[in-house]
Amino acid sequence: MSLSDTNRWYIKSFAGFSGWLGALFFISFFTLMFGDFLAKNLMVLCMIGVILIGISYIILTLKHTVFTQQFALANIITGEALVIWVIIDTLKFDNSFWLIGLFLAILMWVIPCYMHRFLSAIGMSIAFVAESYHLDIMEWFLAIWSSISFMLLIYRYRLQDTSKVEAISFGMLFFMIGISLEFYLPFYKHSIYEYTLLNISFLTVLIWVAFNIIQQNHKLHDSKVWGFVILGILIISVISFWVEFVVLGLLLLIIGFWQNDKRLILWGITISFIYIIRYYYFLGDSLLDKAQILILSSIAFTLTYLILKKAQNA
Amino acid sequence: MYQNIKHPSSKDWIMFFEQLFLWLAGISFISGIGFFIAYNWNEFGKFFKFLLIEGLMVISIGITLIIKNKWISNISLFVASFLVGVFMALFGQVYQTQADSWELFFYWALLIFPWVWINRFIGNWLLWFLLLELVLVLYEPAFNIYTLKYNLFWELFAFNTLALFFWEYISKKFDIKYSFLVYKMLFILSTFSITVLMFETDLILPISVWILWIIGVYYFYRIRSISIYTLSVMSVSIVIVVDVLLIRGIDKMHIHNLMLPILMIGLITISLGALLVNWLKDVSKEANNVFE
Repeated sequence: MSLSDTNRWYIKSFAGFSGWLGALFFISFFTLMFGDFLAKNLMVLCMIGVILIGISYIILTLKHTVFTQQFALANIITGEALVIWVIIDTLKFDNSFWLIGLFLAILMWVIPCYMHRFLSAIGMSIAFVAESYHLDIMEWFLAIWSSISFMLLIYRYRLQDTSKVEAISFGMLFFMIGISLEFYLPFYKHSIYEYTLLNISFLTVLIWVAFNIIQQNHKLHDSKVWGFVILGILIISVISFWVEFVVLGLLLLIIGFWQNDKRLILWGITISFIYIIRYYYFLGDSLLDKAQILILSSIAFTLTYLILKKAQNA
Repeated sequence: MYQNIKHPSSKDWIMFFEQLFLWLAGISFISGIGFFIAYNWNEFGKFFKFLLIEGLMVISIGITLIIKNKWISNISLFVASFLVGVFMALFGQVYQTQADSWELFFYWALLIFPWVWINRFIGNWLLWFLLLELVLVLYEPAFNIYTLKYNLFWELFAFNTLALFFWEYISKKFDIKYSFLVYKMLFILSTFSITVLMFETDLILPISVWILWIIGVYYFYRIRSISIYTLSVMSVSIVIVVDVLLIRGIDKMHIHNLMLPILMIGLITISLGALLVNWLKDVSKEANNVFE
């Protein structure tokens, strides 16, 4: 009996949880077993980690019982922890997060285990955000990374082996990136024009991808609808330079609706609300400016709605 | 190779964007007004502040009474319930009542209860239960009458377990829609509290209550009815409690070489997890033929 026999997310989550808990004990076991020896022989430590991951991969592809899946998950996490330790110890934080993120990204695609993908997606996003903060290249790095995540989400959704748990994990990825953008960007004192330019280019790439994929797959001939959607979002990006969170929320709403996935829609709504709360406490603008921007946004949205309604009637 | 998902049609997309733009317009407008009021807050006099909140309350209640659309009237009453708290907080701020923060939440919950009871809207029930949880959490530091470290978790466990019984009874009696939201929240909090109590120094009472709790959950959600969610959450608690007991046992034995015991605990965790997952899946298959 394998885990794919059931679609209930809480059973899968519980299975993942016990695998993660088991991994904690395995990691402690390895630490106690080799201790100082491994700290001095990093290559051996790395080899053990790779071997653990390799064996687990073979177990996962050959056997599909719940026990083997959980055992393999615990071993993969242990192997990952050992390799990550070696990376950090060797590079001493110089480029180490970048390598960790890449390592997790590769494993995420190779290992056929949804719980592992879930964990890797979170670990990967933390690693990339940490690296970009460390290297002082926050804006463009995160913009590119968000675009890649978005495309991965679309791609994985189209594959048969993709589950909703993964969708939620990617939702979390978006969420974390959104939070990072919200927290870090204000500290870089760029002009409003730079922000607007960044937003427009970022948005255009994302909307272009969404537009093409949806059109190709569903023969959505009414391109007017998309024209108005892009127009609406671009208007907002021009009048407000602080829209990343809104964009992420909107994208999740759109993808959620497209994929008939209520969880993604819920993520989109949550992110949008968090944006408003964060926006309230942003010290860069006065409350009066914020109120004006929001009321202007409201007018822009209403106009877009009316244009859409008119085009539909015509 | 594609998933079998029912994608929306062109017409559905248009409807979706219409709704989306309308909602965004509404939310932006309300937030904009809210921000504007916040900007001018210090300039407003006492009278205007009270008038504003009370006016909004009257409007919300008016919408609830006049509009026949059930969703709109429910949400309006929810807003009114929320504004009661805002009004009380404002009252405390303006007249410096020196009341403890738990009192605000307690009287808020008490005042809105008639609306919650009559309206039977899930949003209001969620708000009401959350307020009571806050009362419990905030009560401790305010009065400082609790001497034991884990007393708050005992309180939370007792409250949430009793509330669960209460909710099971009234949600079925009044056929409250989306009642599972409150149920899931109460059950998670109840499980969390009793699991945390396993870290207490004296284990006899917590472990006895935990065993009784497991028996109760099994009886109500496996024998009398089937709820996979409840049984899954209970399984998480079982794995954690078994691990905690094993670690405490090893600690008491004063073993110097912890290597093997830790490996054993890891293997036990995975085996127990696999065993429980298989059991849950069997129950789940059975539930597909019954209900959940």
